[in-house]
Amino acid sequence: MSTHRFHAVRRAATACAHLFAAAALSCAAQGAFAQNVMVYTEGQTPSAQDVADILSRGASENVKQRGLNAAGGMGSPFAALEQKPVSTAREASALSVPVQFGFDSSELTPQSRQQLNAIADGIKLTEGTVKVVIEGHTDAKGRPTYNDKLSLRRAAAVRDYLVQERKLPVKLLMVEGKGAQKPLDKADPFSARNRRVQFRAG
Amino acid sequence: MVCVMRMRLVSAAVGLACLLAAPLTWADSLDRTQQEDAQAADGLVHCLFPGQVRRLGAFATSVTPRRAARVAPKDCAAGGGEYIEAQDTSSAATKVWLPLAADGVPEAQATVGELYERQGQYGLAKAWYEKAAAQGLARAQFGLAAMLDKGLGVPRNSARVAELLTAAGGGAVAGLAYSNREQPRVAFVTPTAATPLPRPADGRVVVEAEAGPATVIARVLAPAGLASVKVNGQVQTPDEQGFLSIPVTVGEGQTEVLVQAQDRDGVVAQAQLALVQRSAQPAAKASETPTPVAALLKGRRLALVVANQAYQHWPRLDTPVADAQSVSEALRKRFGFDVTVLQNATRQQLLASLNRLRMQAGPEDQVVVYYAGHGQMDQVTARGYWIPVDGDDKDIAQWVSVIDVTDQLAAMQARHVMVIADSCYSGTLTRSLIPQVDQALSAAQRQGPLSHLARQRVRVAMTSGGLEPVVDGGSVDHSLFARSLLDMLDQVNAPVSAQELFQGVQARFAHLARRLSIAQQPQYAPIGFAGHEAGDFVLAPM
Repeated sequence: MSTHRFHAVRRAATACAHLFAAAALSCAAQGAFAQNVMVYTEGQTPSAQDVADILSRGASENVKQRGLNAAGGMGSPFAALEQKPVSTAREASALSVPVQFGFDSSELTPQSRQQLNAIADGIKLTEGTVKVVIEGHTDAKGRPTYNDKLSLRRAAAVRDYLVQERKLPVKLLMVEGKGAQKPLDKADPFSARNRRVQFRAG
Repeated sequence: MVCVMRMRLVSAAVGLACLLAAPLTWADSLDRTQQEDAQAADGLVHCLFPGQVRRLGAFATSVTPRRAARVAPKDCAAGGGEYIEAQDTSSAATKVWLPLAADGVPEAQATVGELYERQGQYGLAKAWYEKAAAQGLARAQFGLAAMLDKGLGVPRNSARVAELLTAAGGGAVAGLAYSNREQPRVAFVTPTAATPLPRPADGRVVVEAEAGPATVIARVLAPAGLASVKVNGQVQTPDEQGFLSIPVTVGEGQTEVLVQAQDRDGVVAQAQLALVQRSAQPAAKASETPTPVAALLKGRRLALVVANQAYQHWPRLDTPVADAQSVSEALRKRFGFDVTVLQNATRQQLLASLNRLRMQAGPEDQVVVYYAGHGQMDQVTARGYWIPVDGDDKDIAQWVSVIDVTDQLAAMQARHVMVIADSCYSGTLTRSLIPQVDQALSAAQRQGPLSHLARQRVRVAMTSGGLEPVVDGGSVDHSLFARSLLDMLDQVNAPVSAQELFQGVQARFAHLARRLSIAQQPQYAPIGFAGHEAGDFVLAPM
């Protein structure tokens, strides 16, 4: 099991490396340099409509076309972008919640469950038009390889919860462990704000 | 020698008259099907066959009139006919048909009308269409109606259009109507089970749902302008696209949702939904006797499904193969089609498959051609192209012209042909040229209009967008259009006209697309110059 996940991390990491060059290109063209993340703090429950709108916005910026003005073909440009916290859902194309686990475990707290339930309702509202990437993020404490694995494990725990408890189809959900590579708070990589689970369109 | 001048070398090698040593050995090394495929890629030509020599004993010899037809080059050569190699010289083609048209052959008159219309000589086109239409040729009556409908070089005349369309269909039929102005419509788009096809005569549907809160989404369309919308008696305002989100709570008993709309002309439309808790009493299905399928459609059902995904010179796509697989499965299992799937087709493979389909399809048969892949409009000529998987990114000669596809459909014997293009398809007309089935008819009453539609020669296209590029993904496994189409195919429980299916697809697509801010709009219309006469494609589940 652990080797399997380790491979998943490496795959995600190499995918990022590829995407970085691609994203740089498409960003230069679009003039967008950051991923706008709507940050929900603990106890702040998003509305299902907002969740659906945020994820759909991400998906619509990522759509491929059949025809010559095809801009797509490079996968999601968001995977490599910098994170920019925003405070209104209308600007965001990703959202994050500070999913709380028990000490060194992947057991979810009741507050986290409530937030995830709202997110599940939002994903259901999109009626399968959006593939969702669940990203785990940690702060900079600890060794990078450990953080990468931990963040992937937590993202997977969120996916398992959404699939088993909220009956979301597993094919809609992908997981990525980002470790400490994409902090929300760049000034303080050790800030607790950076520990979060983030949702975006894949 | 004549043969060599007229035909390409590959064809020349086949003809026994041309005994040129080098091409012959080359031809020997070619697989026979490869040869045929190469010829199919040449497209169809306007061929003038010689008259037959008739002898009456030793007394008299006479020659029958020459006959013109659109055939493959090798068939023209085999029949001793003559043709001009370039396909697009309409003026040259006109010379083939004009003498026969002048002799009063209605098919030739209609063809001359079409050729003049393509050249933009609308006055001449109208004159020849009129001659053929007066002789009762449905194809000409429809062609003339389409010209008058668009007002191409002639004044628009909707009364005459309706008259011609009715004549092309062989007279008026109760329950079918042509109208330029659409009636107001109310339909549910979510859950999909709330939109069965055909729609029940009283507009009321019973659907099972999970207990708890849910959202029902309805769409109200009123081309004449909306006067009022009521949900369960309360006045509501739909968004600018006509969508209404209706929060409901599914619990004990039935949760009723009644949406009523009235347009500015005072015409009323409504739809009614009753939600019942799942795992409660199974909803009593309305046990209306379905229309016997055999009575509507006697022929075979053939489909060619093309999915181009692994492009060499164009950006690779994500969903065409998955789209094609699901659509094939639906066509095969639910509608009894004999499906040929073509994945990552080259230009030659695509044209050869179409050619084979043309030869295979008999006069009673139904044909569906589905295409998912890159498409491109040439802005100068306004012609659409499908891009083969090995197609160059600039050289138009390596693409498949939609005109070549249309030519194959025109030459096909099949009664019903529908192109479903999740890409572009140029050369379609307007939807108002297709008759609509009255929505208030019961299952038994629908039999008459549907069998009338089924009898006609139909050439229609359903496309995922207009002339702009369309989205590839948009849904998890499928393009947004394929997803909408599959959702609605799943709801067909008795024979429906393709226009009824399309209206469902259109509403479903608009609903799924609006959150993704996709402006694309699916289209449905007869194909011009494809030999469409009247009626509509009829889709009947097994």
